[in-house]
Amino acid sequence: MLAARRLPTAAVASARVARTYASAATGSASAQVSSTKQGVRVATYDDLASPAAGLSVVLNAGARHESSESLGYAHYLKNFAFQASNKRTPFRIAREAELQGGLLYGDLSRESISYRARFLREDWAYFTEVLAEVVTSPKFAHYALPEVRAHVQAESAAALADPQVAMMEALHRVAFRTGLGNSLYATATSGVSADAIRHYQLANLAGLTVVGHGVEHASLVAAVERAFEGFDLAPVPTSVATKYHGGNAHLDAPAAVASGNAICALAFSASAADRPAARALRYLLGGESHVKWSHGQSPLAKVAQQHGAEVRGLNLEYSDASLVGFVTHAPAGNIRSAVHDLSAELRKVASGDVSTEALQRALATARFEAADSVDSIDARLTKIGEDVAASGKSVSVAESIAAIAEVKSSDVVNLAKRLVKSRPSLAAAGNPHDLPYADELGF
Amino acid sequence: MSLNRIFAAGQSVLHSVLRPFSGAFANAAGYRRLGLRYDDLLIEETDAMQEAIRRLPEAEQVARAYRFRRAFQLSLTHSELPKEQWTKPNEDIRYLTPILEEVEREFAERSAFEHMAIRK
Repeated sequence: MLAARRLPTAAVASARVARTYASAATGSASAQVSSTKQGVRVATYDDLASPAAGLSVVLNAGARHESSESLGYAHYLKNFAFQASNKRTPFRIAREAELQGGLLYGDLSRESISYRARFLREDWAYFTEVLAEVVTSPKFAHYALPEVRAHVQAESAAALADPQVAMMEALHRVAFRTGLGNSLYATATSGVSADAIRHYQLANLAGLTVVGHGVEHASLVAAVERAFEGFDLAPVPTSVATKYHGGNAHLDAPAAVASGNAICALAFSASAADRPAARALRYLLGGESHVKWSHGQSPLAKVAQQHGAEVRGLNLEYSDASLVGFVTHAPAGNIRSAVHDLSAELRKVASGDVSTEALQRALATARFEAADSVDSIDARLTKIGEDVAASGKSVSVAESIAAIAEVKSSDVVNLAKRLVKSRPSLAAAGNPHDLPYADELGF
Repeated sequence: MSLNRIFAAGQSVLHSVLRPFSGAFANAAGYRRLGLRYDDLLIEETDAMQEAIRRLPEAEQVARAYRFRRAFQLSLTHSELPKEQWTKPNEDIRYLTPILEEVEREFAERSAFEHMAIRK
């Protein structure tokens, strides 16, 4: 089965109850990582108590790896997933997965493309074989391209019709220009053909990672070794180091203009070393409410309320960069004053005005989010895949939580100080007369 | 010897006997005089064939359409191409048959999945 599938609510509830003990026992475990003789890194997370398992094959072929000649190819490559391989037709792949009750899907991020499967654990050998086949012997038939192109164009149109998505793409564009600034959605592509996508895939095959969830480590390593026989996939440092630029991007999003609302994202660059402090700062600023029918007690939420706005903190983490700031949407007339006052809250943190209670609340939320955000097979596959692809090792939830717990008030204040002195990236969508500019905010 | 192997052996004998005459037969069939290829003569009005034609590279599709138009025109005027423009044996390649066979295998596979019984 290829499409996403949702469990009925009752099944979700019972699955959660049934898993409590297993999670408690394994929640602190980090993934076991080893390397095959072809250089494929294999990571497994042992959750052998649950009958559900997952696999993810992670290619370092995300949007950041596109060059000016291959812009948009990552999106095409993702949609070529589970098209014909040299051994199986797409029909056969779909039907065989369906017969075993498994789920196959592709996932594209700025860093990587992953081909994933979720299934009952006893079927792991079959799904390992299929995922490996999708990577090692895809057909990239030219006659499949019209169908793939139709999917790509539909996905791009649907995603970018949402001003929030378009704004986040613009934010990355001004922040990083190329690399991480490349759009996830193929719109302008030069000379895309099935062969061009094949070359893009081959060029980005090295440094492949296979992540298993609930699959026995030694067996998976052996299976991966068999499946990738004859390949040399040792990681090579090809990715160009990310350079942060910053600037303004304003979109005349018709949907946002027509609704009389505007959205704006303001973000600053933080390094990988700032990560725990950045996580704390993001929840110190806060924004979202954790209690129904209330706006929440965080500084950003209080300010946003005065402007009829909604806001949430932003902390986007990539392997060698991150963006910290906030996203807000407000009635168009208020957006400029809202962003002004919200950025004043960041300055307040930079001036050292952080109460102990606020910091404690922020750290508690950040720790909870660090644990909660990876509490599903899919999320764990993503997290472990990202970690291993970036650094060759996996960071357990316990380690991330411990790192956040060690954050002191001075770390957050120093980070905020550096941020407000740096050049921001501002992206906004709405009526261009109402939108704020970074220089008006005093940055 | 299994039936399959007898059949296969028979085929190879048949192949070696008939092979020398195949060129003469193809020439006698006359399609080469109209600039056509053998695969142009395959019946087009089947689902598998339609799919196979769709899978041809665009240049092949255009060349095929051109050969048809030229052949229709020649047929209409009861004439043949000048001899130097006849399809040469080395040009008479099976450009469509491998694709058609692949499509037929896929159709058979689909049919097999549609009609299978699941035993558990």
